[in-house]
Amino acid sequence: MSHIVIQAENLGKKYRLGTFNQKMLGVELESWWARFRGKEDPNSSVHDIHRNVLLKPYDFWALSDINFKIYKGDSIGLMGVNGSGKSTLLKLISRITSPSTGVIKLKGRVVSLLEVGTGFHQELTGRENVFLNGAILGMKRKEVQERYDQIVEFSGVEKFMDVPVKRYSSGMRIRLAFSVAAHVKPDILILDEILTVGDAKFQEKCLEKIEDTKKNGTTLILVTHSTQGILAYCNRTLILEKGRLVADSPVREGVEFYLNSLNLQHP
Amino acid sequence: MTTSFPEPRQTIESSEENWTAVLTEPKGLFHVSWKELWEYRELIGLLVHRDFVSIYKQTFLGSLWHVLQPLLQTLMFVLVFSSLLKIPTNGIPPLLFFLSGIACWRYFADCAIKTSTTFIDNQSIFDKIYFPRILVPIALAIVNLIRFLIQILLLIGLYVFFFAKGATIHPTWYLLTLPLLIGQLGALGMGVGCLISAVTTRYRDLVMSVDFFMQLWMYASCVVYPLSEVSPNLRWVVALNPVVPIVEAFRYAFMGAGIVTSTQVLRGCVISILVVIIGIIVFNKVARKSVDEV
Repeated sequence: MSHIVIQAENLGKKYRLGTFNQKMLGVELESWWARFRGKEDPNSSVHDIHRNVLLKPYDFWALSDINFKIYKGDSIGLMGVNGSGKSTLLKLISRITSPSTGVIKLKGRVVSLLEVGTGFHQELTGRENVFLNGAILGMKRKEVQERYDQIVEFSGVEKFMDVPVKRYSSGMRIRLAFSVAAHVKPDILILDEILTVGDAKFQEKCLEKIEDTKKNGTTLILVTHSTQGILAYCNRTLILEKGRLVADSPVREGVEFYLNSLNLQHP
Repeated sequence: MTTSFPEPRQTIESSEENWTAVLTEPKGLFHVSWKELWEYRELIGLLVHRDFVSIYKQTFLGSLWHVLQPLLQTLMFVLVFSSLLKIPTNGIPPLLFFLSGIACWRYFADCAIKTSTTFIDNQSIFDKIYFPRILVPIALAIVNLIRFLIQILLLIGLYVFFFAKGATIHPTWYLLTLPLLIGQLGALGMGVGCLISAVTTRYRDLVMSVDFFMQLWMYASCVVYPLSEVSPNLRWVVALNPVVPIVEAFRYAFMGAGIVTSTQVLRGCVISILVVIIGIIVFNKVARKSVDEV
């Protein structure tokens, strides 16, 4: 018996592609003025006859007809080749963009790490950034205070907490950022290709942390091209192909399906 | 085609209605979730902290610049407009006259200019994390409010000095409306910034013209001359600018000189409220589109 924590119904996302928004205001006014006088648009190309098809804005469905239910405690491996719509799906679940059709229902606090260290400010100190980043990720001030010592210890940059982040090395920055994220304790955690931060030792710590989070009942959505990672951490896979959900299955079958679809051999 | 494998689970159907969030295609024009803003109040505080502290980090004089900047501008205006061009100031000591005008104007203009580039400045964050986008302009307005209050302290200091020297200035009961005027000025700045953000996000070249546009607006806003110097036939036109009654009322409150009519103040309020509402509608619309299109 499990509770549903994410439910997608008939989900779709449409993007407009073509030549919109790429002009400067002057150019657009010029075109508009020409049309107003009934003349030919001076900015339209001579070869318009066969370019017309390409240049007119057209709709591109990055995702369509997506239906799934994710249960509490699931660890989902989201797979698909580049351009299959993984990132779009994550953006929809993270509320960064809105669906064009259908609906996503969520239960609990969602934290998505589409990038490590979003919102870090170069001029602020490590300590200030921990609080800022924590709040951006949805933590209450009290929660950050309670976990502050753990966060600092986990990152391994204790000595530099009062130094502006711009003086950090990129490795230090990433470790501090991941450390904040690792202590959010969300209900749903979304990780996009960030299992590869820091050195091998720090990676190991991160993976342990993810394992811990899972044990606490956090639902995990993991995007990675590493089938090893999926096999190690997930119990279920969702596979996207050209914006459609082509498989929703237990992890072994899913990985096999994915590799077969790539015409690759199982490792 | 979905390849389905048998699902070994049973679902507790009854719990399905307690969703924390239901995401669909956005509908409705004016949407501000006060509850959500309240939940994110700590983030507002931290954004304020970020913007306030980071401006003058690594500068020798640090936060003294919050006061020095308007003071230097005031001295320049005193020199140019008062000493050279002999523009009368209604009997108010020129230093106080220009400082009060400049402080008001900067508060308004900084809110507007900073808000106008919200989507460009924060694109990297907006692309990766969700929080109500309106938090950013709200935080900016608070940052500028704090700076404005510091500048008012400076104004009061100079005020006491001139008062003791026997200048013909006296506070009026309009001081009581000060919180309202200040709130209105910030909200108006934010609203204007939201409106500008719609065009600058779409047409980047307009970012360049915003400064110029705001400078023009300043010269139309009784910052460097009193409303009483405008010919009486034209006054109502100048006072259509919602910043004018605020600046005049601000000066009148402290110094007891200037032209303030309740009609102008009320009309200014109505215009400000309209600007803020339309601004937020536009801002929300841009917020939805910018992630997909910028």
